[in-house]
Amino acid sequence: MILDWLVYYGPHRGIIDVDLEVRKGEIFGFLGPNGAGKTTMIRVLMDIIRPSLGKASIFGLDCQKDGVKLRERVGYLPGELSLPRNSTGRRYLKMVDSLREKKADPEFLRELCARLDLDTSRKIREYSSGNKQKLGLVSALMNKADLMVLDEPTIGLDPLMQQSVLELVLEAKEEGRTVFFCSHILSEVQTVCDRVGIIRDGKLIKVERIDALTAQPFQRLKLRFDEMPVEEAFSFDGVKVLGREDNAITLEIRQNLPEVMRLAANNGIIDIESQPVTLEEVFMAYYGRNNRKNSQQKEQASEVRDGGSDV
Amino acid sequence: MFNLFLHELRSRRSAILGWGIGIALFGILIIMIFPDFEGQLEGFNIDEIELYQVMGDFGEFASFKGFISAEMFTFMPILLGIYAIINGTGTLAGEEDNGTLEPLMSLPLHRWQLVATKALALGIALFLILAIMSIGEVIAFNALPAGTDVSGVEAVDLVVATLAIWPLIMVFATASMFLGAFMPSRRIAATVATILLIVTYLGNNLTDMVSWLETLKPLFPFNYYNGREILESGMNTGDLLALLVASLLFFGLTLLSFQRRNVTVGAWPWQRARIPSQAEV
Repeated sequence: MILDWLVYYGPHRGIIDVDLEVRKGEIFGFLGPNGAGKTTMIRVLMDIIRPSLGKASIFGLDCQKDGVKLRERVGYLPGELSLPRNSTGRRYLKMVDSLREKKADPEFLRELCARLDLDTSRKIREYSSGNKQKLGLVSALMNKADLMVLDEPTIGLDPLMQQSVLELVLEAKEEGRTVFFCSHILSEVQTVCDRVGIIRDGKLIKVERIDALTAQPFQRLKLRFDEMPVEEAFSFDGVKVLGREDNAITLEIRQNLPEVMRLAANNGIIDIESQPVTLEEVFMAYYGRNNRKNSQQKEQASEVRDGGSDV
Repeated sequence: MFNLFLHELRSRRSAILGWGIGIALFGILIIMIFPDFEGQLEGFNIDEIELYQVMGDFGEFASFKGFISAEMFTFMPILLGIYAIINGTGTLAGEEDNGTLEPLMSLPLHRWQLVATKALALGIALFLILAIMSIGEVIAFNALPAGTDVSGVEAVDLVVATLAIWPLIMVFATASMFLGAFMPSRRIAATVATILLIVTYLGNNLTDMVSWLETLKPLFPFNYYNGREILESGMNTGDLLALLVASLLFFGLTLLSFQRRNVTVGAWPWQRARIPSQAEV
């Protein structure tokens, strides 16, 4: 999947110069805050919005010119899902399947509905928002499309169902299919995705493997003591105190790990907790918590970038 | 495609039954009350009241033909025109507004197929409403007391006059679809379509009173539908063709507009042109 285009509307910028390649058989996470351009980008892929310049192609097919051929191979779950209220779930799926030339395996369809605990005999207007989401997921997954574009696939689902969806996504990958996975829940992106792209203000600012993004050339440890030693006791080269609470201290350790451990052992340590860098921290470093223009947070971002391998 | 068509038709099922039965009951009522009015209206000519000329040519109000055309075939196209606008703007613009268009557009369909299927379902829905109304009229007509003077009108004439409303309201339905595909939102499209309906209805009827409007008369769809004339001599082929051509024209414009539309953006067509400069990028 190769994207190279520009979308622009009036005074509001949509997406500018996105150049992205998604590899066959991978789960690609797509991250960005509200309004960054994620949904616009997905809509360009589905030929719902047309780029002002440039073009997007998937499987070598132009998203606009070869849209019909392309969409035969794509299963799509919109982020703002809305379904016809008067239809039943079964009838809606039948309609979707017939437009895909009945490619869905009835056995697989039954299995999907069972795994997502979806009753398709009811009218869609009687569905809860979670059930509507499940129906949208089933319609996107049932044809075992070569590419699945899932925008916020677990929104409105309970934790058990969220887990089931992630398992289905991983199974799709095992079968060699590609998943374009857009989510605000960074922990699930970290769990299932191979690589992520981060978009900001309509520009793709980073594409990297998850493990590379979260890799760190230091240890971050939280040490808990019966009786807390003085903070100065940890003043070794390459050791930084990140936080302190009651009888625990959190350290970033780049050097002198054996000395820190020895000191801890001599001071009655009762628990050690390793705290690896999460995708959420990386994401927050790129965006800042409240104001991305805040210089203090730019510093924070550079700190995390220094800590990461290549971020 | 057929399943999509069925899906579209099913989604209109309640509206077809509701509007069909509703206006059928209205038609039954008008036909059934005629015998009570027949004697009272003898010698009464509605055309003598100037205000009523705005609402069209009713002919002799006291006759069955005049009474039915005045009470039924004058108002029915307006009522159904409103339905056509509600459904026409709801078909693309309404679905875009409520979000149900997006999942459909992600399916392997050409945009023209989507528009054509929806327009066909809308046209058939409108026809079915008129067909239900016709059934009601035939039942009521056959239930009229013996001896009622129906002035040579037969049940089939009522059916023809009722079904002849279809090409007229298809003009408003397709025009509404076009406005929905062209304008940023359903709300704006429905407002413009309603203004068109009212202006063309009043404009057409005022042409007999205001001479300068005469030249505009061919532009008014209502110029090609006259319920009383249809009751007398059936649908004029020229009028039928004019309405069908207008519907096809609006359908073509809908296809062109929707083909270029950035769905879900809610922008005017010309709002897509500006590209940022290199400095802005």
